[in-house]
This record gives sequence, C-alpha cells and structure tokens, in this order.
Amino acid sequence: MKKITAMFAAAFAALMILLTPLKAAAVWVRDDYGILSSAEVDKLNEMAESISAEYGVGTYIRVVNGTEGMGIESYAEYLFNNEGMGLGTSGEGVLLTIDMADRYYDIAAHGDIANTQFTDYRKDRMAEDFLDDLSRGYYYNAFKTYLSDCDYYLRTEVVIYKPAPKTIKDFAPLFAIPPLAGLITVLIQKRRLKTRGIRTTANNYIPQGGVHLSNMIDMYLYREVHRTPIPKVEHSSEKHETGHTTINSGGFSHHSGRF
Amino acid sequence: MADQVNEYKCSNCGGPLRFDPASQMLVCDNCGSVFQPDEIEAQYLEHSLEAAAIDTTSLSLNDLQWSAEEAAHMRAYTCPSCGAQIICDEHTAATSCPYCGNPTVVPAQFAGSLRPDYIIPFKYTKEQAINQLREFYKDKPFLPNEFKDRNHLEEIKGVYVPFWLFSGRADTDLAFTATRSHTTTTKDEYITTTEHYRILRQGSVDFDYVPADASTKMADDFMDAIEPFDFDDMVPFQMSYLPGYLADKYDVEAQDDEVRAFSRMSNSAVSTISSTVSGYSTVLPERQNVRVRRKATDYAFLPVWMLATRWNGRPYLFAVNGQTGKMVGDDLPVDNGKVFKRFLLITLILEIIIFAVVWMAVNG
Repeated sequence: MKKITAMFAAAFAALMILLTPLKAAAVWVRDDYGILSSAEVDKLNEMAESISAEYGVGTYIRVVNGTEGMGIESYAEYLFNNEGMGLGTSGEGVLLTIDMADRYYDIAAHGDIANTQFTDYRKDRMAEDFLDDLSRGYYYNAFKTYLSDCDYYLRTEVVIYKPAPKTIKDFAPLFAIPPLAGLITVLIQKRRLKTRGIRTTANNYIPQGGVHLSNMIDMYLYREVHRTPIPKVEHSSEKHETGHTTINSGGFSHHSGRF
Repeated sequence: MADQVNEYKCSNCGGPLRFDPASQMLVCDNCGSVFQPDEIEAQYLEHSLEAAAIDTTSLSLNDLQWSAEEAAHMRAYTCPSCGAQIICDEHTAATSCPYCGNPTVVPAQFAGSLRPDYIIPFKYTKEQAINQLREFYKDKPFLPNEFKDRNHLEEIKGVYVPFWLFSGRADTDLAFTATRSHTTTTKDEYITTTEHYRILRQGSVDFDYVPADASTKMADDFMDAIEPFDFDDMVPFQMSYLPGYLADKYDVEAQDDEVRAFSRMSNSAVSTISSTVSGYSTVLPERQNVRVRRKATDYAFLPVWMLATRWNGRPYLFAVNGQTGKMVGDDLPVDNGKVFKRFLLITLILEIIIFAVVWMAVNG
C-alpha cells in the first residue's frame, strides 16, 4: 500500500513539473506600455520559451508604466511572485523589468541555478549590453540582446577569476621611499645649523585689536560650466568575474539602474 | 672734548656697582649692598650737575699716535676709579676700564636727542647665556663632536644694542580674483561649475615698536633673528641700568632704518588682510596698495649677550636675546660623516619595516 502511495506521489510531482512551463508559456514577455509591436512580442516570446525550456530557468520581460510607488526592485519581486514566475520547485527565473514612467530597469534572478549563473558581475555585463539600445529607444533590439545574454550565461559555466599571486617584485616602488624619507629628514636637520636671517614681516608687533577692516566685498561675477564625458569602462581585464551574487532575504538578486 | 665718564659707586663702601638681571637691582660685589636703579639714578643726576661746572680730566686726541682719520673716530676718557685712560670709539656709551675692570658710563652719549627713550633691562644673566649656548648645541645633531668639545668660549659680553622702534599704521587696499568650483557627476558626465568672484579688502593694521638695530657693528641678520622682544617689559631709559654692560649710541639714522621697518609692516599688513579671504578654490592678487604712516619713532636700548668662540682657527659669533634667551649664531660646521650615518640609519630602518610589511602581505 505504501509503495502504491509513493508511486502516485512521484507521478503527481513529475506531472506538476511538466505542467509548470506550459502554464507560464504564454507570459514570457509582456508589454503593458505598448513599445513593442505584437509581432515583436511574439518573436521575443518564442525566444524566451525556447531558452526557458532548454535550461529549466524561466526568462521573462515585463514593460510597465510605473511601479505603484514600490521602487523598481520591489516591484519586480512583486511581479515575479504575483504572476507565479519561476520554474521548478525553487522557482528558477530571470526577469527584466522596464519601468517606462520613470525610465528604470531591473534584472532580477531567483532560484539556485539562476542566482548561480547570473552573478552580480554577469548581470552588470548584461545591462551594459542592452542599455545603449534601451536608452535610444531600440527596445526590440535591447530585449533580444537581453535574451541572447540569458542564453549565453545559462550555458556558460561561471569561471571565477583569480588574480595572479603578488610577489615582492610587485611592491618594488615602495622600497624607494626610505632613501627619500632619509634624505628629507637629514636636510631638515641640517637646516638647524643655520639660525640667522633677515625678517621680512612684523606680525609679532601687531597689537591686540590692531587690525581694522573698513571694506570687505566679495562680488559674484559669472559662472562657467564644463561638462566632461565619463569614459566607458570596456569589458576587459579591468573587471573580473568573482562568482559572487548578492541575494536578499526573498531569494532575489538584482541589478538595476536608469536608462 | 669735555669727555667725562661716570662710575656708579656703592654709597656704603665705594666699590663699583653693576646691574644684576636676576634681581633687577644694582649690586655692589664688594660689600653686597643692593640699590634700586631709580635711587642711584637720582643720586647721579645731582652729582652730574655739580660735575658739569668742573673741567674734567680728559685726554687730548692729539696726543695719540693714530692717523687723523682714526683719531677723528676715537674718544679718550679717564677712569674715575684708577685714573687710567680708556680709549674707545666715538659711539661707545658704556664700557668697562681695561685696567681695573670697573664699569663706566659715558653720560655725554645720552645728552639731548642722543638719550634713548626706553630700555629693556637684561633678564638673562651671563651664566644663563652660557647655558643657552650649551643647549643650542644639543639641538644640532650634525655638529662635529670636536666643535662641541673644543670650541672654547673666548669672550662674552652683555651689550645694550641701540634700536629704532617704529610705530605706524599700514593702510591697505587689496583686490583679488577668485574662483569657487564644485563638481557633480551624472550617468554620463562630470559637470564642473566654476563661479568667478572679484574680492576687495580695505583696512588698516597698527604696528607698535617694530625694531631695527641702529648700530653698524651689529649684523642685521643676527639682530632680526633674536626677535621678538616683549615690549611690556620696556621702561623709560635710566643710565643706572647700564653698569656692567657695554653700550653704543646709534650710528644708523632713523630714516635709514625706516625703509626696512616699513617694508616689514607692509608685508605683514598684506598677509593679515589677505587672510580674511577664505572659502575659495583659487585666489589671485590683482591689486596691492599699501601706505605706511608713521605714528612714532622711539630710540631704545635692547639687551643682547654676544658670545665669541673659535674653532679650527675660525671665529664663531653667537647672540642671545637678553630678555627672552633666544639664541642665534653663525652658520655652524657640518659633520658630513654624521649626516651620512643618519641617512643610512633612517633608510635601513624604514627598508626593514617596509620589507616586513610586504613580506606579510605576500605570504600572509
């Protein structure tokens, strides 16, 4: 009897797992603001469904008009939970939320696989990849890039960058400090042998209350504004994969910003 | 030349009196009597009026075997204690007899406009001045040891140096251009906002008793370096402060010293008024007009101990402010071996520390 009950439970669980992606299939990509054509939404949906099915991690896009005062990260978590996003028992999913009202974006990952694959560094890279198109209004291209990146990072194992160990040679410039410090010290001490000199000021002979200011004007003339572009950080050896993901108490990790 | 010298004598034993910096009194080394300077001054004022009528003993300059030019700058006096002739230069106001050692004062050097307005009496004794020299050496790590050990004091003398004291007001009119900058950062750019200002400052700065030494015998860089003097201790001049010390009357006219004193006042006025300009990123002077107005010029005797030493055949001179004890001297010799050793020691210690820190960073 116990065996039969166990077999029924296993069969039910397997059925539930199989049914979950089917339930979510229709809502991979949703545009509540109307920045995409229905054809574009369909194409993106196809891409998202294919990626989700292949890796067992739901890939979602939501375009919204405001966050109901919650802030972009909280609102993304609200959408994720409220719409039942995420696949499998740990709710694996990655959601790109675009708030067109305040022009904020957020990439939220949830679940063990998603949080492992979408590290802080990778979410940062993904944002850099689509932000240019997003800022310039090429929304479809931006979302396509996002889904491509999801595909790439889900398939690519996280390789943790380990900097080469430092050797004493790396600190060589520090060893030039002592002779310089020694030289400065002896020069200062040597100056003590010279004590005479002509005085050029008479500050010691200003009596108490001897300074009288009769006119003190600070006149504003004009203002200059200089704008200097911030150089873009290239995807190069300057930034490295550390394998770190910052996960909040709700099990989400985020990368958000303005576009 | 009606050249007369006064010797301040003890009214109890007839011994010579000298001014004692420690007690600020005139003391007799023979019987130990002490007198207030005012008391002795009054006695001698009375005495000098009587003596004015008498033709005092003096030495004719023609009797000296010096050139006419030399003789023109020399004065001969008769020591009232032992009768010996004291020969000194034309500016000497107080000295001591080279034969009997008694301190003497030449009242003629203080007659009329030559009389100083003020004097700061000595506060540092001869022993304290010598002690200052030892302390002075301690602070000089690169001084050769032989200099400290074998540099014997050849001479020490307390000198009342004549100074002109200039009081005035510096009217100052300054203009600057200044900027104040701040930078904000947006997503794409740094925005630097620079505000430009024109700043005006007008005012005046008072100066009391800016000193300038009035003796060509004293090097200006020595006398400047022993400043400052505290003029709260300054008192009206009395000859009774002079016994036991040397003194010269001025040989630099006030107008010759005035330029240097006014320049000091002008520089200080500019820096004082400029210090009210604050809170700007950059400040550049645009206009500086300073006019110094003289309020008063006083003539004063200020106390200085002069110490002479000799090392390796070369004389070294030191000066101690007789009021504050501040000491300055000739440029002292350098022991290059000590300099190199100190350099090596500092370098070695720091290298070891850095090596230890780096080693821990690499292996720890």
